[in-house]
Amino acid sequence: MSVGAVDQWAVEARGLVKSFDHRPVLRGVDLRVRTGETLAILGANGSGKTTLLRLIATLSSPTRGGVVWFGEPSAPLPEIRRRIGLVPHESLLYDALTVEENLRFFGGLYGLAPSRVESALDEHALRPLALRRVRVLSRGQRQQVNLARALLHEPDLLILDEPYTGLDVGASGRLTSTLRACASRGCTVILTTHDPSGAGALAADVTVMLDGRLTEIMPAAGLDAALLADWFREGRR
Amino acid sequence: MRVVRLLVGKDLRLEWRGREIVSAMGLLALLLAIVLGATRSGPEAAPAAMWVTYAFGATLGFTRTFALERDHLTALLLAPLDRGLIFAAKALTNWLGLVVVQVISLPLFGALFTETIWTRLPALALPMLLGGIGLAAVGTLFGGLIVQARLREALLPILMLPVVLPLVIAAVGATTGILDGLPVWAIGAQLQLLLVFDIIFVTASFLLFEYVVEE
Amino acid sequence: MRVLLFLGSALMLVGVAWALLAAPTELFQGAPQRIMYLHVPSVVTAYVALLVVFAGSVLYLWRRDPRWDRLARSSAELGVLFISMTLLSGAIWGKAVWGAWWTWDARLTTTLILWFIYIGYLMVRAWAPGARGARAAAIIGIVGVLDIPIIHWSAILLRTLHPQPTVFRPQGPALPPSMLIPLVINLVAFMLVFAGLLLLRVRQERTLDALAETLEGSA
Repeated sequence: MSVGAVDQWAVEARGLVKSFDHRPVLRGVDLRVRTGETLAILGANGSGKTTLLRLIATLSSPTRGGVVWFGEPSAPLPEIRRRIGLVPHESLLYDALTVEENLRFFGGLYGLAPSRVESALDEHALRPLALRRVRVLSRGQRQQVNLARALLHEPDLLILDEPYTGLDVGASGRLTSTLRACASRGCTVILTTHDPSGAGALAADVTVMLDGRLTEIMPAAGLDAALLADWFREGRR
Repeated sequence: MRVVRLLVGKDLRLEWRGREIVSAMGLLALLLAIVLGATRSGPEAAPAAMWVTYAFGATLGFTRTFALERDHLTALLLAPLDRGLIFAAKALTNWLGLVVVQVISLPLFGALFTETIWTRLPALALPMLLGGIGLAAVGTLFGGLIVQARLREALLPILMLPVVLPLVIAAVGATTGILDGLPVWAIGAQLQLLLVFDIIFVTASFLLFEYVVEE
Repeated sequence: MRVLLFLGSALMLVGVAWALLAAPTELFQGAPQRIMYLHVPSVVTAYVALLVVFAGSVLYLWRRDPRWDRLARSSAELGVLFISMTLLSGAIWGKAVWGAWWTWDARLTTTLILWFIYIGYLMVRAWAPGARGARAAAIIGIVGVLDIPIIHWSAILLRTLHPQPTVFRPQGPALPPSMLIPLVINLVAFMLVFAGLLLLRVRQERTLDALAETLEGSA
C-alpha cells in the first residue's frame, strides 16, 4: 500500500443520500477516514449504520453523493473491491462446508494460493476447527472464521457491522486484539456498534449516526455516556 | 474460467452434501412422467410429456439454487469478479442439474411411452442439449431476479414459462421428428430455432445479470 | 394530454361510424369483418406500447432515473390493455368468420404469449413495489421484446407440425381505399388515445412518487 499525500484518505464520502422507496435512510453523510485510522460509528438500531457500511463496501450505490476510495476517484470497482474486507452482521459462510473449505473457496475468489489459507488458519488459531463444518460452530467461532475470511486477502480497508454483538468476553477480547493487529499493520478499520465501551477498548475515533447524518469525529475517550444517551433519544424521536 | 470452475465446484460440493435440489427436481420429474404417462402414454404423447417434465423440473430446481445463495450473494458481489461470471457459474450449475433430471427420467419415458427413445438416443441428445441450455439461461436470469427483488419463488414458472415457450415448441417439434424416425436434417428448422434462442438468451442474460444483482 | 384524449376519442367516433356505416361490406366475410377496424389498430397500438416498455426499461437500467421506470410501467399497463382488446376482438371475429374462437396461428399465438409475459411484468410490479421491483420488471420488459420474433418463428413451426384447416388472413391482399381510410382514421385515433392515457398514467405515477417522498421525508 502506498502511503502518499493522495492516499491519505482511505474513504472520502460526500453528501451521501440513500433512499429506499422515497424513505431517506441517509440524509447527507459526509465522512472522511484517514488511512490507518480506526473509526467506530455509533448509533441506535435502524439509524442507517448498515446502509452506510454497504455503500462504503461498494455493495450498493447512493441515491445522491459519492464515495472515493483510497484517493483514487477513477479506479475501477473490482480494483477497489480487492482492497476491501467486509464482516457484515450475518455470516457469509456456507454452513455445509468445513472451515477450511470455506476459506479455500473465498480465497479462490481473490485468486489466493491454498498456502495463504493454511497460514490464515494458523494466524487466527482456527487449526483445531479446520475440518469442522460451519453449521456446528458457536456464534463466537463463526465470527472468528468470518473475520479470517474478510482478512484473507489482506485488505487495506476492513469494514465490520456490529462485530461485538453476541460475543462472550473471551471472543470479544480476541476480536479486539485481531483488529488492533490489523490496524498496526496500517489497515483502516471502520466498524459500527451500539455499545460505546467497545469503541473505547479499540482506542478508536468515534462518530455518531443521528437522523441519517453523522456527527463530527471525536476521540472515544472524550465521550460522555449521558450525552450519548441523549443523542440516541433525540435520534429516535 | 478458473473462477467459474471454483464457483461451480462449490455449488456441486454443497449439492453433494445436501442432495436437496437434484432429489427434489428428480422426484418431480419422475412423478410428472408417471402422471402424464398414466393419462396418455402413446408414443405420440412422448415429446410433449418429456418437455413439460423438463420445463417444470427446471423451474423447481432453479428457484432453489438461488435461494441457497440468498445470504452468500453479498460475499460473491464483494469479490473482485465480473458479475457475468457469477451468472455463468450459476447457469452452468443449473444446467448440470437439468441434465441429471433428463438422464434419470429417460428410462421412464422409454418404458412408459416409446422404446424408440433408445434407438434414437444420439439424435435425441441434440434437442435435449440445446433446449436445456436455453432453459438454464432464462431460468438463471429470472431466478436471480426473483431472489434479488425478494419476490415469491412461486413466481418463477409464471415468468419463465411464457418466455421459454418458443423453445419448448421447437424442442417438442424436434423430438417428435426424431422419434418419428426422420433424419436429423429434416428437423433443421427446429434445431436452428433452439440454437438462436440459446445464443440470444445466453448473451442477453449474461449482459443483464449485472443489473439484476447490482443495488 | 387532455387535448390528445379529446382528439383521439372524437376521431375514434368518426372512425367507428365510418367503419359501420360508410365502409363497404366485405364480400366473403360479411359484416363481422368490420371488427378489423378495431382489431388492427389495437394490435398495432399494443406493439407500440411494448416497444415503449422496452425503451423505458433499457434507459432505466442504464440511467437509473425513475422517470424512465414510470414510463415503462405505465406503458406496460396499457400494453396489456390493448393486447387484451386484440385477443378479445380477434376471438369474436374468428368465431364469426371461421367458426372457432381460437386457432394456433403464428400471430395469435405470439399475441397470447406476450399477454402472459406482460401479465407477469405487472405481477412483479404488484408484489415488489417501488425500486425493488423496478429493476426486475425492466429485465422482463427487455426480455419480452427480445422474445417477440422468436415466439413468432416458433409459432410458424408449430403450424407446420399441426396444420390447420383454415388459413387465417386478417387483411387479405391490399385493402381498397374505402376500407383503408376508416382503418387509418381508427389507427390514428388509437395512437392518440394511447399517448393521452400514457401521459395521464405517467403524471399520476409522478404525483404518487412525489407524495410518497413528501410523506416519508417529513415522517
